[in-house]
Amino acid sequence: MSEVVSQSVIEKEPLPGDLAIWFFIMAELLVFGVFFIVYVFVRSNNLELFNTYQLELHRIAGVINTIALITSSYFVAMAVHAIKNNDTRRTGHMLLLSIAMGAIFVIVKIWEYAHVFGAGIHLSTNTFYTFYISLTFFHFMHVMMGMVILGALYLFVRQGKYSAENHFGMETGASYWHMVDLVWIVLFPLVYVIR
Amino acid sequence: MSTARFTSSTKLTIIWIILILLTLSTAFVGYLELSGLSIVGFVILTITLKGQLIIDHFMGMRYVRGFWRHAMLGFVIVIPVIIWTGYYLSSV
Repeated sequence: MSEVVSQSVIEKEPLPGDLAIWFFIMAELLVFGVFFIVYVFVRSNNLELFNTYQLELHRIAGVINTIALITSSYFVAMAVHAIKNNDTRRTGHMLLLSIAMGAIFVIVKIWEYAHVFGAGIHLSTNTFYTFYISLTFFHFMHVMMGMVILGALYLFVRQGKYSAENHFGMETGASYWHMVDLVWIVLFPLVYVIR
Repeated sequence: MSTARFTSSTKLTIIWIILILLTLSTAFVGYLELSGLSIVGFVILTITLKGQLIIDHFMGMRYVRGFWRHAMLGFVIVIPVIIWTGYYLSSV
């Protein structure tokens, strides 16, 4: 009986954060999803070109960035967990760590772009680089926006605006950051690894 | 607010370790410059697994029933399947 009751409670769990962010996340995932499908379609007509130039990418940088984003996402999840336990000090620390991980992503990405553009490669070099630069830069912009959101969440935590009873905004910002991570875990293997 | 969907910090840490291990397996494939449909299938599977773990545990969607969870899981299931199909069609 108690299991039936708890199951019905579980089924009524609301979405974390604001409903509006979920419409936004869904729209973003649709855009990236279409982008990925077009990449696969165009690749199928330019197999040799894509396989050749994909090997020129710095895969170690891609791996470091994947680990940085996943770890950042982990710290954000830990921050949400901490605020639900009313531990604002730990929440702040976790958010700072997630921002630091995001900063590692940004630094590595800028280094990677400097390396690519330094070699005289640009958007119109070939079809592969058109996709590589536009896809990764579009995602990079989302990372930058996410970092601003994480910074704002940290400030609000410092100002005592969130607590175990009131952390709606925190869940909203966290959901956006997880979406950025989610997109990268598809983008990285697609553009850097599988061939 | 219910605490049903709250994941313990230990569980979150275990999920993080699994995500890192899955990432390293993909990195290994990239390092060895492996190719082929089965390799693509393996990497696609890691994408779906990682996505499901992030959606259910980091995003806290595990106990959210209905459209939103299905739509989120759809992104890490449908898109990878389309990617694999594209790779399959271009190899035959």
